[in-house]
Amino acid sequence: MSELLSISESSGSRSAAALYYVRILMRSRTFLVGGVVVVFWLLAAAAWPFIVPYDPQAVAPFDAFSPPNAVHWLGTDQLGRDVFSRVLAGSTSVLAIAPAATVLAVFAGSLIGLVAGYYGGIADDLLMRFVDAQLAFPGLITAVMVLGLLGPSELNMILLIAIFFTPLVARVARSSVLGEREKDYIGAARMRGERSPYVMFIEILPNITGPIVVEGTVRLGYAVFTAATLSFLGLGLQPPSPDWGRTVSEQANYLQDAPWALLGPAVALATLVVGVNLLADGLRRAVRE
Amino acid sequence: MTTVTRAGELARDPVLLVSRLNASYKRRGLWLHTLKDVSLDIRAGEALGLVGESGCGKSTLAFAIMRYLGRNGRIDSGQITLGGVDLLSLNDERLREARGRDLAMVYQEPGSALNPSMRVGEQIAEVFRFQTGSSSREAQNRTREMLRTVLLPDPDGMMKRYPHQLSGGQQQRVVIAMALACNPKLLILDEPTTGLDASVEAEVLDLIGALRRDFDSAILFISHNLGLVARACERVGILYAGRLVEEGPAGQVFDTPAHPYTLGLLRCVPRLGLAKDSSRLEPIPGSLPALGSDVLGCSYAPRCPLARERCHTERPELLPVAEQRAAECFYSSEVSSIPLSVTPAMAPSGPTQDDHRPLLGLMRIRKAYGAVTACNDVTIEVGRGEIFGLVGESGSGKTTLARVAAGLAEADSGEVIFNGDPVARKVGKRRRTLQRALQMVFQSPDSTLNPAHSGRFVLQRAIDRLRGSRDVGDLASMVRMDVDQLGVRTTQLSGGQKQRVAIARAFAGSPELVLCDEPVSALDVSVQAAILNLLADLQVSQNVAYVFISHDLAVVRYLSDRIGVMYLGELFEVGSAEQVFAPPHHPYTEALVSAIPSLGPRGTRGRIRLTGEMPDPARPPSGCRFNTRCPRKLGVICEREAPPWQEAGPGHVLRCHISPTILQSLQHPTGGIEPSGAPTDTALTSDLGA
Repeated sequence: MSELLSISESSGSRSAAALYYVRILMRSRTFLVGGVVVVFWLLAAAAWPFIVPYDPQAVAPFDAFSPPNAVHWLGTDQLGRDVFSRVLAGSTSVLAIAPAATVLAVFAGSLIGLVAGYYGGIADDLLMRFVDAQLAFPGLITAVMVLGLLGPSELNMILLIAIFFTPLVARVARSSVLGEREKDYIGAARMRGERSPYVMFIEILPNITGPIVVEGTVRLGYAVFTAATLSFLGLGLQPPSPDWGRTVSEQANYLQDAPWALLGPAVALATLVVGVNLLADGLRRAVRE
Repeated sequence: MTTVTRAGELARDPVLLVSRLNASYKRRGLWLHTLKDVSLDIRAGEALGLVGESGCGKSTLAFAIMRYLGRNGRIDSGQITLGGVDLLSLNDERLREARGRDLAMVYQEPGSALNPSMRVGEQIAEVFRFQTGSSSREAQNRTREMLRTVLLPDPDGMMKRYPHQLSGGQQQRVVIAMALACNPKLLILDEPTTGLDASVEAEVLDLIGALRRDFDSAILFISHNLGLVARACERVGILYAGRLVEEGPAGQVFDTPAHPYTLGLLRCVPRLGLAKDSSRLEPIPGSLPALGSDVLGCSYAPRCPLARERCHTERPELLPVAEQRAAECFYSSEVSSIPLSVTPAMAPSGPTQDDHRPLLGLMRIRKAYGAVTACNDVTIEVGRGEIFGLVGESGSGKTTLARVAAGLAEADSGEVIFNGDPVARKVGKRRRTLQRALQMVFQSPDSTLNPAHSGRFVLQRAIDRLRGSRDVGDLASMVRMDVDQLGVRTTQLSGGQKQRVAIARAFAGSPELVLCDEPVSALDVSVQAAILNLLADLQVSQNVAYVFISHDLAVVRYLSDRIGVMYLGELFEVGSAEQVFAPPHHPYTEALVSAIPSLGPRGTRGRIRLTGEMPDPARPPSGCRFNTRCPRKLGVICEREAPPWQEAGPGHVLRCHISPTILQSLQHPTGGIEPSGAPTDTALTSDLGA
């Protein structure tokens, strides 16, 4: 009983409501496992210079193609560079590009979705047809063309991924707005003469952040993968960057001699993507509860 | 518990026997004790009504009997036997068999109980094939038979339809047909008519009555509506905070309640004939104890007018108080002598005489959504300080009309006049002074307030925008809320509290007119009484006018000065509350009034049944739109010509081809009102002011 009281009393304030979500998330094993994996890679991306046993770029021709051993935990590549060190260092580029692109896409997508969903009519038609048109483009081919023209760079990759993910976020945001728009509290806001931006950002937006955050997390997983794909195709970072996608494509040539040099970044990529998706799953369930 | 067996029915053992049942629900990781020592029994062919407000454990009991409690529910102790079989000991396989064969449940929303992608006939036939192993031919025939049993017209055509092609009432009848297909020993009806219109409700009730004669099933009828239970059941049980607090024959329980909670429930329902000017509703003070809380004494003691020292420290047992009756109260003999609290009736309100211009005029409003004309040429005028009630079944256009007045929907033609001046159609284009003067209270407490904001934020914003002179504290005390309750997010508030905040929000800028769209429909009766009292008080103290929309005629009758009756997008009658509720009135009004489930003795009142279903609003009938269902249809003229407005009295007009004088003679003079001399109880007759 006393426990019950403490819940109903504390759950009042906003921070307590946030605490409630945290409690649900902490009980979700999916979320925790995903969180551990992602936090590990975030730490690696930020602190690898202090952790790595070798300089990821240090060439040691006599050590080339050595299999995993006590000195080189994951072996070395064709130039004798330490695979373990390069895998840790390679997380930086992915974890810079993917989240930046996702955040951009979430902002742009939410804005488009809000405007299209709230105003409806012509605004909705124009925006959503534009979105549909963009979704109809084969993404990778367009990316190859655009990056080929503009030249590969981190900034270009971020913008390109953001542009590709914006319509997907916009659709989710729009459908959430449509669900809220007809609710009576919107009618009440209009009855007191609120202007559209107020209704969109103060009344509606706080109620659709759940689905948008979930969609953003799902997109983050895809963004990691897309960034790696572009690097793999040579449209991202250039050698000698330890970037995972780049390294996988490079090491594909030596698959016969040194599969470990390819497996290291490939497995790293897989764990990060899976970790992010586990996070997304956990969040989705928490939002639903 | 054993109830006293009636003479001559010794052979009939109870079909369902629940004894000392305790059940819990898990919420946020805590087990909450929701059902406490509940015992009841139902015989074959008998209907037991279970009444109580939301959160008292009605549905938990139903789900416990079905053993559908799910992973977050459990039965702690007790016994449930059905036809001698201990339901709690069955394994999954046997339980599934029992559910198909002996147990059937009908839920509140018929739409969600039917498979939308399967024809109705196939869905029912499936039950026959699986449960009784009929061949498909035989199943077809039995389905046709069953549809006839549940009084659906044209069974062959009906079988070919999909659920979405049926009306709510038809869907519910199909669900009942499916439930009866296996001839169950026990039929549980969980709020079977909530959300259905009064006339449809009456039909479903008729059906249940007929089924009780034809089938030998025991019926457990769960409802929050006392009138419905009084009409549908011979016995009734009252649940409060998970305990059965009173049990007995329906007529006796409602005439001379033996538990103060039962009396409280009865007194907070506006009965027909009650009006705000003559008497106040009496809401039950306080609120339900938190779900699962364990109180030392009687759980009703904190709200009870009879409570003494002993009630707070010692728990009463459910004991017999008379033949076939039991109540859980130490002082049950004193219940009937609880006086009505002497709150003075409000000063008679009504339109103030100094200004004869109407405050709000809706002139020839027409509004269509696609092919459906939701409002067709409707004209109403609302005076200053007047409460104008708007009634009609769902789909009659009441809400559309209010939204047009509010500026939330744009009329296709017609004008909205406020204070003598035509106003912009869109609320965003209206002047700030008009926005202050014209506000709205919405129906659903769950969506009327932004769940992301606190009550304080909601009210402060309304004050800022509407340039209100009061502060949040004033508004809160005006709707009798504690300012502390406003600091929390609106999702933390109860339904009644949310509706109070919503009312306070509408009053932030000192409005002259508030549009109330079913503001109490989603609330429990005791909360509803408090909100209705609040609205009545505010109307007097703030000298505000209301357009009050409700499908509950007793509520509209209680609150309104004048009433308009709508059907299928058109206005059919306007007059003072007394005029509209007494003959001569429009045949549609007559049917609505007679369909109100009352707490009076059953079967003493002739009821006019509307025949057929509401026509497709996209293709309304020609001539008089009501002609397809009118019990007093004259003939071809009704199908050919739109009826003229006729004057039935001063300020009382109705649209019918029959003249008011003839209507008067056709309609029994005491038509809608309780026959005199029926209820003998003092507690009830005192506020049956008819």
